[in-house]
Amino acid sequence: MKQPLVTLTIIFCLGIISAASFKIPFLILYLPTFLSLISSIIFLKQNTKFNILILCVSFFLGATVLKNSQILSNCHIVKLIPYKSDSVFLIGVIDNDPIYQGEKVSFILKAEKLRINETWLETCGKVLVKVLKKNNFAYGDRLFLSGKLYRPFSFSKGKFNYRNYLRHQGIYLILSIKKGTMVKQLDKNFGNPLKSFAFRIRHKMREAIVKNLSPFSAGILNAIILGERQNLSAHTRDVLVYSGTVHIIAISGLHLGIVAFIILLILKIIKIPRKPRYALTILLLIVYCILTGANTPVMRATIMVAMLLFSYFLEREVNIYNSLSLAALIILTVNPWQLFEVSFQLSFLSVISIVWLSPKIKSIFPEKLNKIPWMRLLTSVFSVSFAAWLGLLPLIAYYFGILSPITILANMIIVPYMTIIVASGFSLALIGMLFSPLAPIFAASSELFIIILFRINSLLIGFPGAYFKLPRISFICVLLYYILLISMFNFSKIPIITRLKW
Amino acid sequence: MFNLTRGERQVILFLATVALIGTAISFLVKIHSPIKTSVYFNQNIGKIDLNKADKEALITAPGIGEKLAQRIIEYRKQKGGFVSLEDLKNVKGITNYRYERLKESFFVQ
Repeated sequence: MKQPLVTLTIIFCLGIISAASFKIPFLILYLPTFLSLISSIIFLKQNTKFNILILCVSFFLGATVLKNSQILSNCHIVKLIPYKSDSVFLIGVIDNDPIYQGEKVSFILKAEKLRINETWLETCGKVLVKVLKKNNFAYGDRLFLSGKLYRPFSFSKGKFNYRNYLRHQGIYLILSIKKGTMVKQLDKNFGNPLKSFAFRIRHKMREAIVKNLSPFSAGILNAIILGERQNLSAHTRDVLVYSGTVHIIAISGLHLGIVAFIILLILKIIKIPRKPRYALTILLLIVYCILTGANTPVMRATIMVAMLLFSYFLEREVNIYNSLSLAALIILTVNPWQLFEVSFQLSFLSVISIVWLSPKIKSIFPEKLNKIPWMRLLTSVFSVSFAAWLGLLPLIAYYFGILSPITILANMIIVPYMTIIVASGFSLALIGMLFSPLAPIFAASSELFIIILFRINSLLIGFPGAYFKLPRISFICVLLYYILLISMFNFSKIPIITRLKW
Repeated sequence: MFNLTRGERQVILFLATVALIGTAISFLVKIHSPIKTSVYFNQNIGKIDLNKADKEALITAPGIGEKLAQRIIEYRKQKGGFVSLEDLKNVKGITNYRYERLKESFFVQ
């Protein structure tokens, strides 16, 4: 097998699912992991035994990592507060870039000290803080807060559960600070300097976008470039969901690819030698990943693009399945709960579908078509769009209750068009930061591109039968669909004309 | 199943070992972490010094408006400062109930 990491990742995921489904103590899972690891070291030279043992290691390691993430430290804030708390006093450091929505501000606070009954206790853990008054907060600020701590409500919208969503990020409590309670800044700059630097650039880019564009276009471009979706209206999101193009407002591999291309081009123009150019691009991509909040799709895309650039750096070929598996393993080892997040599932499944299915779909077209350049381009774009649609169809139906056949056509038009929007958006943000008098010229074109994007989108979802709202489907149906899809494309005799060479 | 070279196997085993040791350390640190009280920690942190705060600082405390802040400053001038936190009750407009709410926000040095 050319992709050993794929099997190991699948088994690792099965371990995570098993540990999440059954209540097994940590040590009971740790022991078989340890024993199978020792045995695999002993049987290093024996092929079959080593393979079986390393699969066992992968399975139990996945389960162990998940169980470990469920265990909270004795000083964790959730263990120190009573079930229903009165107003508490808390000291902690802001751990993300605060999100401003009108009069409300929310941020994640890394708790340091908690006052209970006149005694200050050292604590740890993250708290989501919601402040209902206009204050200026920044990443790395050490704050003294008083307010009511409560557990997140377990309300659900479709398959989405808010409490689980926060828990998967390690947040078990919300601190609500209303008018008339204390918020004091004790110190500044307690965060990671790289993160602080990335957030400073982010603020400058946001400022350049907001200053030069209309509120609607600024909201869209902030989502596309900086991953800030809080200022988008529900209607804007809905129209993109209906056409199956909502992924354009999430930072994906497409964005990272364009960013990497722009950086490489600039570095080439200023005559940076080849190897330092790739190394610097990887570093800048990591800064961009932090700048956008380092969520799963961005991390996945950053790891994959970085691996690709690293392979160019070493002048070696890279296997896309292995790099995808490595990205999944890194993300899941850091936070195994990501496996149950919709964004993780959609992000990985879309790439797998495109890489695996699009060459097979393309091979269905007659060879004659591939000889005409524009037809070759059209079949390639269709194959990618159709592959992504086929791969995500049951998950979209399961989570969002929507089936939109228009997605295939919409993505064929909108995804290539996004290159223009991302490139012009970045130009606007960078020019706005470095030489603001020129920004209005770039802003005018960005504004036009965004209006055209939404005109196309509205036109597409206006077609009869563009999308249907579905009743709830069960997870068994989703599994059956994938079994059918895999057997159809793996065992049927579709002539594969083009094969991807990675 | 896999055709891994000896080097690849060693890399996988090394990474799995590091991950397993890391998980064990993280587990042990979590279950043995003591609940520490900050004895030497300034207990008045975040509170406002009643004898030093100006009007603007007093207003930042929850439950204090401009008028009450002015009265506190006037009382401080008259008496030459607050001796204890309980002196707050002598300020016009601060009842026992209000004092209970306010005392968390101030200290007297």
